[in-house]
Amino acid sequence: MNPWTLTSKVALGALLLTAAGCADDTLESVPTEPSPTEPTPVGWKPGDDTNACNVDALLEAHAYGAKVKTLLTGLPLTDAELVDLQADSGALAGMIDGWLATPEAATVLERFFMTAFQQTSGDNASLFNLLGRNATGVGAFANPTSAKADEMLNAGFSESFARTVTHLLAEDRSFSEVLTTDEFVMTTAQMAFLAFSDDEQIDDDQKHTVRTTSGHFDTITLVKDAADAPPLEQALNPSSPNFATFYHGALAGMPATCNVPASLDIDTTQNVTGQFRLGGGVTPSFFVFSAVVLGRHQGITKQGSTACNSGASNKQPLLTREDYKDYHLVKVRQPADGEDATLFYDIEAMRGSNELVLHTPRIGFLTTPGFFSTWATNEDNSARVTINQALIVALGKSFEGVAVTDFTSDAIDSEHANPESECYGCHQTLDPMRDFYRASFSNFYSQQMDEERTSLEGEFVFRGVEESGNGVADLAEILKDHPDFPYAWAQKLCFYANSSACPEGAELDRVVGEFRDSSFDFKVLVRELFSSPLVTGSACLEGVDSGTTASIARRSTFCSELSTRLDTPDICGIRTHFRDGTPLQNKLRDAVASVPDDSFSRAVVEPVVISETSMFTRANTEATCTLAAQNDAMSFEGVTTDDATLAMVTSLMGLPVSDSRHAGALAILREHVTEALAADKTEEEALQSAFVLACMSPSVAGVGF
Amino acid sequence: MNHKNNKLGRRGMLGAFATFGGGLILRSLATGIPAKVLLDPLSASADDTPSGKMLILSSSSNGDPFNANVPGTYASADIFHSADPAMAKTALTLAGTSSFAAKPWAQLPQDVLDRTAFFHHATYTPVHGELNRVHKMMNETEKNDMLVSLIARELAPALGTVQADPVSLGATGGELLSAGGRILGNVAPLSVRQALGGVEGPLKDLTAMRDTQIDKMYDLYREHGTPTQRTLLDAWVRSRDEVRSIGQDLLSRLDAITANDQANQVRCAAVLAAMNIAPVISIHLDFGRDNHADTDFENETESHLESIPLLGSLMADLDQMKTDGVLKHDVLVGTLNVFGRTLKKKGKTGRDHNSGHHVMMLMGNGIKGGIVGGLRANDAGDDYIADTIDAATGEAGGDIPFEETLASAGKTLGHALGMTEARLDEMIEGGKVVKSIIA
Repeated sequence: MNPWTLTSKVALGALLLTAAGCADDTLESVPTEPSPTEPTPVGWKPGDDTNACNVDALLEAHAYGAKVKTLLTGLPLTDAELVDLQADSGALAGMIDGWLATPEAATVLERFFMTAFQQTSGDNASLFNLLGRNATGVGAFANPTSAKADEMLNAGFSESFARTVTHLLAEDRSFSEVLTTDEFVMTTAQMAFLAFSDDEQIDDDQKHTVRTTSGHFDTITLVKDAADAPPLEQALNPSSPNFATFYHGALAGMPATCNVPASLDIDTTQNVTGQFRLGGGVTPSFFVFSAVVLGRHQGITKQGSTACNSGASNKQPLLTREDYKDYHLVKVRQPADGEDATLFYDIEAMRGSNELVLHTPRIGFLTTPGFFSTWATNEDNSARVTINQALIVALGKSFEGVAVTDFTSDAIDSEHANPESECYGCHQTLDPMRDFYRASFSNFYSQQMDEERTSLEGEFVFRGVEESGNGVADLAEILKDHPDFPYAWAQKLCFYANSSACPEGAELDRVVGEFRDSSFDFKVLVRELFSSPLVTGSACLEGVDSGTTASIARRSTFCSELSTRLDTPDICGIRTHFRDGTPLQNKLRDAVASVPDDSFSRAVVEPVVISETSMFTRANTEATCTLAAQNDAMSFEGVTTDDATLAMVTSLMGLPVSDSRHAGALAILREHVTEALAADKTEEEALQSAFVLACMSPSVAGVGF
Repeated sequence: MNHKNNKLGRRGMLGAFATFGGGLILRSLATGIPAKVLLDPLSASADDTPSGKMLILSSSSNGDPFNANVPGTYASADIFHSADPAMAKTALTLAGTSSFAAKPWAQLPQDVLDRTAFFHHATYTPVHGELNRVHKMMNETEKNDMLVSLIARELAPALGTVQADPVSLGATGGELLSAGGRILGNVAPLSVRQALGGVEGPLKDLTAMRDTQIDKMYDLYREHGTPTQRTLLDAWVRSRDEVRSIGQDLLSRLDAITANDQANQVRCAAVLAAMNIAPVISIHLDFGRDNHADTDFENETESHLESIPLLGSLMADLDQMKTDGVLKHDVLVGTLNVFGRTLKKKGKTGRDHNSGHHVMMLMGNGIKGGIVGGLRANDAGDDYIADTIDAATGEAGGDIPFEETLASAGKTLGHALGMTEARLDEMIEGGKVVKSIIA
C-alpha cells in the first residue's frame, strides 16, 4: 500500500515527484513512491506496524452517520436514524439510498460533479477563445440588474454537465454515459452558443468560415432608437419584414457629419466607399449572434472614413434573462442528409425544443464548453492538455513518462521523437492519443474540417489497453471500457469523503466490483462506498490501517450544511452571481471565500482537498457564522430560548437526543445565552451569539464528528 | 489592541497548551507556533530586533515570460522583445551595474533598482504542474519540503510571526503552497479584513464569552472523540488563538481592499507583513502568462505594464511603513515561477516553455542591485538557456554548473532572508550562495 494513502494532505506532496521534463503544456511528472527523505505524513494511523486495529480510532454511529449524511445531503442526522444505526450499522446502506433520493443530494452531487468533471474554470477570455476571438466586454440586463452575459453563460456551462449527470442518475442510467451521452441539460442561451459555434467554424489557424447561416444576413438594418427596434420574435424571423433589424446602442452618439439615419441598412456583402459596413472583421452571423446572446453591439464603420466608426456598445442581449437559466434536457444529433443544422438565431424554436442539430460532435464531458474553456489548447499544445485532463477525469490517471517498449507510432511530434530523450516516455503515447481530439476539433475546439486531421487515427496505448480509432466518439468508447474507469470514480469519492485516497485492497475491489456489476450505477457506488469502513471508519479492514481522518467542512460542504439546515438555498451564494444574490448571500460569499473548497489543478491526478484548518480558515468560518447570525439566517421570532437552543443543537449541529453529546451541547448554548443576557444583550442577540457557537461547533465546521 | 480580546487570547492559549505535554520547544514543534509566540503571544511581535527578513513572493504556474524582459536578456540581437514603445529596450543601473531592460523596469525609482537583483538560472522543467517541485528545488530540499516553507519555519521565531507557515493570497490549484506535507489553502484578500478583525456588530463584544464556551464545546467533543478528531480540535483552538493574538491597529489598512485581483493581493500582502502574520506571503502577478500564441507579445506587454508598477508600489508601501515604524522587519519581494519561456525560437509569434532559463528577481533592503548569471545558446542553437555562474562575482561563466543554478538561486534567496550558509547547505542539496547581490 502506498504509505501516503492514509494521509489527508497528499496531493501536492505526493504527486509531482520527479521530472519527466517531457511535456509541453500538459503532463504531470512521473509518479513514484515518496523518497525516504520526504516528511512523514501527519495523518491518522490507527494501527501499529503489525496493522493491528486500534479500536479507539474507530468512529461510532453518531459520527459516521452524521459524516455520511452531511456529505451526501448537508442534512443533520435524525434521532430515528441514529437509533437505527446504533442498533444496526447495516442500516446505513438503506439510509444512503433514501438520502440519495432527496433533492438536497442532487444539489450536493451537482457541485461534486462540477469539480470532478473539471467544468468550472471558464472566464471571459476562454469563452471568447471558443469563438476564435479575443476577450472583450459584453452586455447585461440592466433592469433588473444581472450578471453580464459571459458570466451567465460561463455559469451555465459550469453547471450544465453536472446537471446532465444528476439527470442520468435520476433516470437510473449507467454512469458510463458521462463519456458517451449526447443528451445534455442546458439553457436556451447555451443552445444558441453551441449552434453558433457549429455555424461559424474556426480552423487551426483561426480562420473563420460561416457554414449554415452564410447569406442569411446579407442586409442588416440598424435603428438608432431602442424603441424602434422590433421584438426578437420579428427580428429573428426570416419571414418577418423586420428580419435582421436590430437596435444599435452606439449609433446615436456618432457625429452628425456621419449622417446616420434613424434606420440604417447595411449591405454586408460588399464594402463600398461612403457606405457603412460591419467593423472589426466580424461576419454578419457573428454580428447578429453577438447582439442576440452577448448583448454586444459590434461596431460599424463608414468605408473610407476614419471619423465614422461607431465602436462597439454593450447593451442588453435580445435573449431574456430566463433564457440563461431555463435548464432543460437537449439531445444533440447530427443533421440528416440534406438537413440543416439548428439556426443559432432560431431562438423561438430552441426555447421549446429538446433537440439541437449540430455537425460538431458533442459527446459526454469530453466535449463540453465547460471542459474546453477550462483547458484551452493551441497549435503548440495541440490538444495534449485536453487528452491528459480527459484521462485524469475519466480514469484518474495520467501519462507516466515511462516508454512503452513495444509501441512505436508515426504520430509522435518530431521534436520529441528521439527514444533517447527524456521527452520520449511521455510523447510516445501522448502524441498518438491526442489525435483522437485533433481529428474532431481544431485548436479552438471548433469542428475540425482539415482533412489531413479529420482522418487522423488516434492510438490509445495506456495502462494495458491498446486501441485505435478516429475522433472523440471512439475515444469515449475506449475510456468507457477501460478498467481504470470505475476505480477512478471510487477514488474521487474517497477524496471527497476522506480527504485522501482509499487504500487499495480487497474492500475497495469489492466496492468497485459492485459498481461494475450494477452496470455502473453511480448510486450503487455511493451506497457501497459510503457504507463501507473505507468511509465510515467504523470497522477494521484486514491488511490496512482502516479509518478516516476528521476534516474541516470544506466550503461546499459547510455551505451545504448551512443551506439545508437553515432552509436557505445556496446560502453562501457560491452558485449565485453577486448581482443576483441576496444581501445575505453576498455577505457570506466574501466571508467564506478563504474556507478551502475542493478543486483541481492542471496535470495533477488527485483533486486538491484540504482537511486541516488554518488561522484564516478558522477565522473565515467564524466570520461566516457571525454574519449568518446577524443577518437572521435563523429566525427566533416567537420562539422560546429553550426551543431555539434545542433547534440549534438538533437541526443545526445535528446532535439528536440519542447522541451522547446532545445534553452537553444544549447546556453550553443555554449557559451562553444566560451570560449574554447578563451582559445586557437582548434575547435575540443572545440567541444569535449562541447560533455562532453552534455554527462553529465541530459538527458544522467539521466532518467526521 | 483590543484588551478584552488579548486577555482572552492568553486564556485560550493556556487552554490549548493544556492539551500538550512537554516543554516549550516541544510545544512549538507540535503546534507549529513559534516558541516566542507560545512564550508570550502578545509581545513577541513588537519589540525584538529581527535577525531575519520576511518575503513576499510572486509565484505562478503559468511560466510567464518574466525572463524575457529583464536585465541580462538584451545582449543578443536574436532575442525577441515586444516592439511596443512602452516596452522599449531602456538603459538602467542596478547599484552601479549598467544594463538594459524593458522600459517599465527602468521606470522604477533608482533607490528601488539599486536594491533589485535578477538571478538567471534554470528550473529544469517545462511542465506547468511542477511548480511545487520547483519550490522544492526539484526535490533537492530537506525533507522534500518547499524551500519557502522551510525558511518560514526557521525564521518565524526570530520574526515573531503569528504563524510559521506561509500565506498564499493568489494561488489556485497547482500553485498552492505546502508545508510539512500539508497543502496550505489560499486566502482571498477580500476575506482577510473580516477574518482578522472579526465581524462588526452586536455580537462582537461577546467574542470572549463565546471563546470560553467553544472551548467547552471542544472539550465535549474531545471526551467522545477519536485521536484524529482530537487533533483537529486542537488545531481549531490553536488557529483561534493565533487570530486573537493579532494586533487590531493595522486592520483599517485592509479596508482599502476591494477585490481579489493582483493589485489587491499586493495591498493585502503589505499589510499582512506589517501585521507580522507570516514569514512568507505569496501572491500571483502576471507577466504574460502561458503565451504560446501571443503574437507580437501583446499579452506580455499588457501584463508587464500592469505588474512592474505594482512591484514599485509594493516597495513604496513597504518602505513607507518601515519609515513610519509600522513595519518592524525588512521585507524582500521576489519572484519564482515554474519556468521561463523561449527567447528566440518562435520569433514574435509567442513563446514556448523554457526549462533551461528562468529569472528570479529579488528586491528590497539587504539586496545589492545587480545581475547574477546570464545566457548561453542551448545545444540545438535555437534558443538560450542559463549560463554557469561565478559564485564569487555572480557573473556568467564560472564554478556553479547549469545543473546547480536553481539550488544556488534558492540558497541565495535563503541567505538574503537571513539564513546562514551552513544551514542552507543542510537544507538544499548542491548550489552555492552568490553573495554579490547581498548588500
